Amino acid sequence: MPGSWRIEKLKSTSRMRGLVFRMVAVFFGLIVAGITLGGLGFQPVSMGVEALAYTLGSSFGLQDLGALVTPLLLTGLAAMIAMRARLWNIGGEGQFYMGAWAAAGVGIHFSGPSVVMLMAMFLAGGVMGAIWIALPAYAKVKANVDEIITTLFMNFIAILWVGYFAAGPWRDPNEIITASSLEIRHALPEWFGFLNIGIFVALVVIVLSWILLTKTVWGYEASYAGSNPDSARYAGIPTGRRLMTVMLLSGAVAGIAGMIEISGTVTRLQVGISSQFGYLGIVIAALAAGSHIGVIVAAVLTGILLNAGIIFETQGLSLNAVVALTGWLLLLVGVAQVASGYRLTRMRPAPGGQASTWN
Amino acid sequence: MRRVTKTFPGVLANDDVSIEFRKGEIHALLGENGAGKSTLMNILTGVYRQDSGEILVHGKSVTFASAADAIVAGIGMVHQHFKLVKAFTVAQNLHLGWERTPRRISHDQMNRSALELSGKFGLDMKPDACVGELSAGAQQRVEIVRVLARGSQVLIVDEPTAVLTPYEVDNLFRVLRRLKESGRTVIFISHKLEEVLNISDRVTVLRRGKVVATRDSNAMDARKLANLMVGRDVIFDRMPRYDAPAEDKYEVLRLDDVNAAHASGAKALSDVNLSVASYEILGIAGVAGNGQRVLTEVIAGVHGVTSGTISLGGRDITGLTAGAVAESGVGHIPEDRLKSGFAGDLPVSTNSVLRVYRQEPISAGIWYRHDQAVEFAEKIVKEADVSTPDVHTPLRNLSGGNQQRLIARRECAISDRLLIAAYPMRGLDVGAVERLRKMIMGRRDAGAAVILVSEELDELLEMSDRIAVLSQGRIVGVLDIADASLERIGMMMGGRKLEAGL
Repeated sequence: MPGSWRIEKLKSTSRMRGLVFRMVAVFFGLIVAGITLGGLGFQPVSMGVEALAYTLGSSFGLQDLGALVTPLLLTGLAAMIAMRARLWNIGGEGQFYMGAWAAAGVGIHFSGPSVVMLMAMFLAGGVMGAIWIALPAYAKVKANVDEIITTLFMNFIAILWVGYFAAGPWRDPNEIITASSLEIRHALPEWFGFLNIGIFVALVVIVLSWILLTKTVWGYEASYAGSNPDSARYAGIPTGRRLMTVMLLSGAVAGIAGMIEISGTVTRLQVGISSQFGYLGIVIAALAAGSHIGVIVAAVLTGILLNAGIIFETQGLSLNAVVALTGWLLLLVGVAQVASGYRLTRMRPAPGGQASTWN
Repeated sequence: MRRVTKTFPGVLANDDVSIEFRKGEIHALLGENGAGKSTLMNILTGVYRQDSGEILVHGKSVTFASAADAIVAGIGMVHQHFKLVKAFTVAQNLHLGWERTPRRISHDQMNRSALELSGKFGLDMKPDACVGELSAGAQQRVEIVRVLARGSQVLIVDEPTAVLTPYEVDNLFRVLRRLKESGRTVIFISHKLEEVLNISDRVTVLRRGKVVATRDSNAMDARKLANLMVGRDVIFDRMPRYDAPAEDKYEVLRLDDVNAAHASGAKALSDVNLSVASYEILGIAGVAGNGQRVLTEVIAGVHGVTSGTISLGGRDITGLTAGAVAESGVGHIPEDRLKSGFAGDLPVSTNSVLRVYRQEPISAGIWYRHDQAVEFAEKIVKEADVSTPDVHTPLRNLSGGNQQRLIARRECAISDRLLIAAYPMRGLDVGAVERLRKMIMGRRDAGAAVILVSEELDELLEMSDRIAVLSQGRIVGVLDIADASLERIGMMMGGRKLEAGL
């Protein structure tokens, strides 16, 4: 067909190109969102400026942002670790809850110096997160059972499990309105006066993960096994073991996120502690495209969006509209990321003519 | 077809091919894998366009811009891997993408029209059966009816018997003969000699993209065909080699009564006994799919055995992991390089160090040293003459030939004792073949044992010191190169036991 358009996959794509595409996407998304808000009678520009100024320009704002970014860093990392090995951990939400549950259990039932207690809770959270993905991981490795489905199902169990403990055995009798557990007295110390050290712990975990995945023989084998299991078997890499460990690690990181949440931002175990952090982590991992720095950037971006959303809510925008706005922007960024790997080419029938190209 | 030529980057797939297919004949197209049969048929059905030459239908030159044009001109193809939608019924498949299918049609109408077609062409089938549940033979009938329904006067059947039971083959042949009697032309693609002799009126033999000859099938026998197919007229030169003194030669690899099964449980290797010595290339000949793949994988430790022992340098290595086998000095060029040899999405550097990443200097203890990996990769990329912008490029972006050179270099580098090479030259151009042959011969002359699997008999004769012929998972015979001839191997490949006086 003369002059028809064709989408062509690029052989290689630069990081810069991806960055530009994503920035254009955010810009475009904000304009559309602004027009929509304007149409609804809001003042989008002043609202946006105000939200940003509050989030980034005040210590309260930064505190709120830190509380959102910390769990997102870890759940994003959890999903990203799995993705690097071509595995999907949709169960971050459940592992988050179970990590929080285990940490709360330790905090409620044992006593000791805070440093020891916090370390024990940290360990309990990580181990529990790993336990919560162990069954899906084993089924995946042994029988190739789709981990997308199994990890997802484990979430529902985890949420009900936590609900039972918060409303039953661990319930604080003084709490009447919401079912929540006794207060956990061991809180993470504060940092700079307004951030708890959870965010620091999260960053350390990211650095450790980066070292493990990119600087060790184990990381080489894990990423190779994930990328092409057949070829890994050909090379004698213990493929099943590596993939199993990757998944356990992914679960542990999400569990740690739950532990930090319970000992930092929230101090009681209750349903709703996660605010979808597990699922948002998948989005963050997808945006990060396998890069550790990418996880940090995407988690901060998502945190800003969520925080701005909370502020918009106080200004009368409904929660649903806020969620839609957040989803809209993240969707566009995701599309831009994929689109940066392609270009539009016009097929010209003219003999010997070069195909003209639109980037 | 007149003077058709088609090249792909680095490969001359069809070279000045002229064939005349007549009305009312079954014309067999015979050739080894890679001889250019598929390319030629893709040109004839409008999938590819020839670089030069022309296609004439009833004496008139035609140009096919697409596969649809070829169908309009009455040329249809029954593919080896059926192009049917498994989840659809027979009737739905027949009506799919057919311009005569009305926009709206009820199931009953479709079934009726399918029955009509089946009656018209004399091929019985159940219109409402789901295609995925049918036997291969029944699926093939659906595919044939679909092609015929679109008005094909020329029917191309590509390796139609590969998936059929003997009974189904008889049925198919009856159908093809009936089509011929109704005045249609059948182009029958195969590399099975007996079959071609049985069904065809005339036969054209292709070799390395060229027509070797077109003959009346009556005037041929299996031996003459084998000669044509593998190319008697080609002068084959034995590659020069180092003749090691007898005391330096020792048995490197030994297989005793090795049996192995496919994942499905079907038998893949039956009682295989083999021995390969240092300073020796053992060629493995056979029609593709007769156990070559499992044989190489069993030796490399990728595939398990059900019984028997494999020993390397006198040590029992049966059941060792692939990694352990590789570390004892065994290189393995697998037959599907992108599927098992590489992780295509990862960079060239990561793929280059697959065999050495556990060793210094690529790693130090638990640490993987990326900069050392890059250096190593740059070295072997240069040695193997791989063209790539840099070693950070995903491996998938390399051309097939470059991938092949890279893996050959990587595997040769670790094969101190044994190199297993499955179809290493497949898809390479002449120059690259030459270099790779030298590389493999270099391993042999350095004292390694080499197992070379190939479907090019010339190649085996030029390179091997002995040749073993595989047929249906059995070693039919092992020939010293002095006793080996194209005819003999060709006959054995067809499953005939080594006979005296042949």
